[in-house]
Amino acid sequence: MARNKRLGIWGWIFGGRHNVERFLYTLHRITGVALVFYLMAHILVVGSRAFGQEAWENAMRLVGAGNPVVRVLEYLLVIAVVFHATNGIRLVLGELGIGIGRPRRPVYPYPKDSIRKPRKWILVLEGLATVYLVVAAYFFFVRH
Amino acid sequence: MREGVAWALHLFAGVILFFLLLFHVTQMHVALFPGWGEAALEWTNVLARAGARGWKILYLLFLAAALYHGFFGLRNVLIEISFLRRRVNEVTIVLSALGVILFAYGFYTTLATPSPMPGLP
Amino acid sequence: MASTKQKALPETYTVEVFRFAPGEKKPRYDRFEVPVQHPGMTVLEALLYIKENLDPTLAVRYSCRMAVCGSCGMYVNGKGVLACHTRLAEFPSGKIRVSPMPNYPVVKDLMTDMSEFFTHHREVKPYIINPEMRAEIERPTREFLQTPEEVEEYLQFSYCIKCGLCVSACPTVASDPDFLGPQALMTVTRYNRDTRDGGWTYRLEVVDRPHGVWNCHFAGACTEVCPKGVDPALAIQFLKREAVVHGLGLDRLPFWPKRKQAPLAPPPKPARRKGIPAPPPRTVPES
Repeated sequence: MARNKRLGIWGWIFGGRHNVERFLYTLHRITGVALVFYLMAHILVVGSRAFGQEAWENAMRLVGAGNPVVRVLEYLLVIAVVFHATNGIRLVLGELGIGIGRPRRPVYPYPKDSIRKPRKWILVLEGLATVYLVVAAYFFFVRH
Repeated sequence: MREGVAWALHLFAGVILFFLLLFHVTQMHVALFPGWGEAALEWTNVLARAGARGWKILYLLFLAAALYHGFFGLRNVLIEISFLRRRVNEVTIVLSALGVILFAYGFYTTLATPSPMPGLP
Repeated sequence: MASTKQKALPETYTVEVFRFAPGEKKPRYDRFEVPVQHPGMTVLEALLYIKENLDPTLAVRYSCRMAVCGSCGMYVNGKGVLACHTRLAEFPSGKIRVSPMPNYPVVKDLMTDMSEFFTHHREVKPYIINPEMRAEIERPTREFLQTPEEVEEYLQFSYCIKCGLCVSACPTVASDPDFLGPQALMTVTRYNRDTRDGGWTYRLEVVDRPHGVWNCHFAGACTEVCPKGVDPALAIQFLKREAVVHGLGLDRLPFWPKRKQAPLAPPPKPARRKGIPAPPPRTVPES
């Protein structure tokens, strides 16, 4: 009997020493799934506004708006959103074949264009994301 | 629907969300203008947004894009897990139903929020 | 990896090898001390040294020893490589850990079962299909003409040696055995971009389904591990665009650029110079 060595979902993270994009893939999924579950809860909570001011204010009290712990959680949420958005732009461009180069003769050292070329996007996009998050942190924790 | 068309819509919704969601997050948490940041949760501000027709259209577009993008992405993740991989149709039906229910609820919320009192900005 | 020029290399390497034999419950790692026999010694040579001198029961699959056959794909220190193409000198610490490619069933030790890989490969019809030119393809009389640019469109993707490293590195394959995998999807682009081919609609139908091309999310691990510089991720992203265009029906619109079809070379001219008389008529009937 051959031994099955399929890694399962752990292979999304522990598949070996791979390139950074493979870890961004996993992070993209984790943030994405988290955001979907947040979205479901968000729609239900915001739905309270259809029932008037009191329902809305009760709902806000229930989710703890203004509570410092909730504020930190919200900040984590913003990190997830901003990461998912910036990484998503890289994926949309790459998956439509934009800016990932063209096939060429594989002469050593091999070009690996499809991952080498978008690396600078990762730097630019995640740099912008960091700037945004720093600004957001100021408004979150200092001047709210 | 062809898998490829659904995927193209997923990308399209993602691009819409990039702008709408970043705007929404900024408005809700970064107090650049009056009524933004923490104040955006106050009832008068909520009402001012919820009552205007432009905001209603924007919210519905936002809702549809977010639900479609989110649930298609969740489906992609789920059907790649080995014990669900042969249950593509079941996963699709369950997630579509959930998405439709949430959209209906969000649609009701968007339309049913009381109009702002006269005199509000 | 390139920082090994000046440093003296270790004289012996500690090689930890994944061991598993059918019937055993759990795999284990065996440790061997392998003396370095020459500066360019490869991981495969170290494994063969073990097999010849230390433990003859070690199973390792190899054939050409020069990165052409694609038999010796394995993971060395957590990175997918061809063992014949990786020198011990790339690991100056003197310790390496060799394990079989993940996401394949292990037959014995470092040997993996590639049957699923080739099933997916066969599924996309990895050969030139051309219904209009069927007679010509089956019994060729002349060549198809392609410009160098048209060859360049697919040449890189035809360098694949089917070692299977891309499939073992792909995170989607790790959890989804039905996913076609980078190698098969790359092969679709290789044949769809070939101007001699006419079977692209068939291949687009095969990949435009769940567990087809849409479960690639551009992790790029396939490109990173590919030992031949094939760049499967590039091919798959081009395939997605092609499949979206085909799925939306854009390629059936009148203004959409038509696919090129490689023309047949003109029939060869009789190579007879002026002034040379024709041969005499045959005296024996043609068989």
